[in-house]
Amino acid sequence: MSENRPLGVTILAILMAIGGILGIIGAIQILTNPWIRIAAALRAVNIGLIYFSLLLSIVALPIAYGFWTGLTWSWYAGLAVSGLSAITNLLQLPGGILGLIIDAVVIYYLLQPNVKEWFKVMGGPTLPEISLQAKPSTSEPSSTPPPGMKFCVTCRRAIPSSNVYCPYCGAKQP
Amino acid sequence: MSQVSFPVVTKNINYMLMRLEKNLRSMPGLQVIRQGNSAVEVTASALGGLLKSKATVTLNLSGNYYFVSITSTPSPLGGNEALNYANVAVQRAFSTKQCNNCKKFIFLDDKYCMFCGQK
Ligand SMILES: [Zn+2]
Ligand SMILES: [Zn+2]
Repeated sequence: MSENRPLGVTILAILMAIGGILGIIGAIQILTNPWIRIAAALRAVNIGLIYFSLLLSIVALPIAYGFWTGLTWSWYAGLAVSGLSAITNLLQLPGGILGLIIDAVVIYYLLQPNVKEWFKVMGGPTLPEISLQAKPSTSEPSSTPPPGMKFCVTCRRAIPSSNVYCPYCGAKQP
Repeated sequence: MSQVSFPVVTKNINYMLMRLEKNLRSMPGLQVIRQGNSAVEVTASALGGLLKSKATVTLNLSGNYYFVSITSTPSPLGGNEALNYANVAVQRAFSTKQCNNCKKFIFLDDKYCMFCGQK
C-alpha cells in the first residue's frame, strides 16, 4: 500500500506532522509563559493569533495521518486548509506572495489524478470494476431497438442485429 | 492526438459507440455526448466546472480494424481527466479476445461468443 503513495504526499504528510508538533509545542511555550499576559495586555503580542496557530497545528496532525494512510476526507481537508491559507495570503499581498505560491502548488498537486487516486477521491483514474453485462438494460426493454440493433429474445439487452448468439446470456437468436 | 486499433468484432458502429458510452456513463461525473455517427465527446468537470477537460473519441472502420483516435483539450490547470477516462473506457469497450471454439474475435467482456454461442 505505502509504495503507491505519491512522493509529494509523503513529503506533505511529514511536513504537516513536524509543523503540527512544533506548532503545538511553540504555542504552549508561549501561552504558559507568565509574561504573555502582560505582553498581551500591552498589545505587544496578538494572543488570538497564537490560539489560531495552535488550532491549525492541532488540525494538521490528523490531516498528516490521513495523507500518510490515504484517507479520502484528508484530501478534502488538505484542499480546504490550502484554500483558506491562500485566501489569507491573498489578503496580505504583497507580503503573502510566497505563501500564496506554495498554496497554489499544493492545491494544484492535490488535484493531480495519481494523487486523487491515492486518496481514493472520485474522479481519479482508479475506477470501480464494471462490466457491460453487470446489469440488464432496464431502459427501453419493449421499445424499438436502436438502428442496426435488436433485443435478445431471452435477456432483452440490445445486441447487434447480425448476432447469432447473445453475448450476455448465450441465447440463440431467431 | 492518440490512436489505437482493435480487430473488428462487429461492423455495427452504433453498437461500438453504445459500448463506449455505457462504459463512460459508469464513471463518475462525466458528460457524454454522441457526436454524429462515429464519435463520442466526453467532458470531465472538477471544482464545479472550474477545471473542465474534454476528449473526443472517433471511430474509423477500415478493413478488419477499428481505428480509434482520441483528441483532447486539457483543463486550464493542465489536468486531463477526460482523456484519462476516455482511454480507460476505450480499452474496456473495445478490447477483444478470440473465441476458443470458432477463433473469431469477440469482446473481452463477452460471456458467450456471438457467432457460435460458446461460453
Ligand atoms: Zn441475451
Ligand atoms: Zn465462437
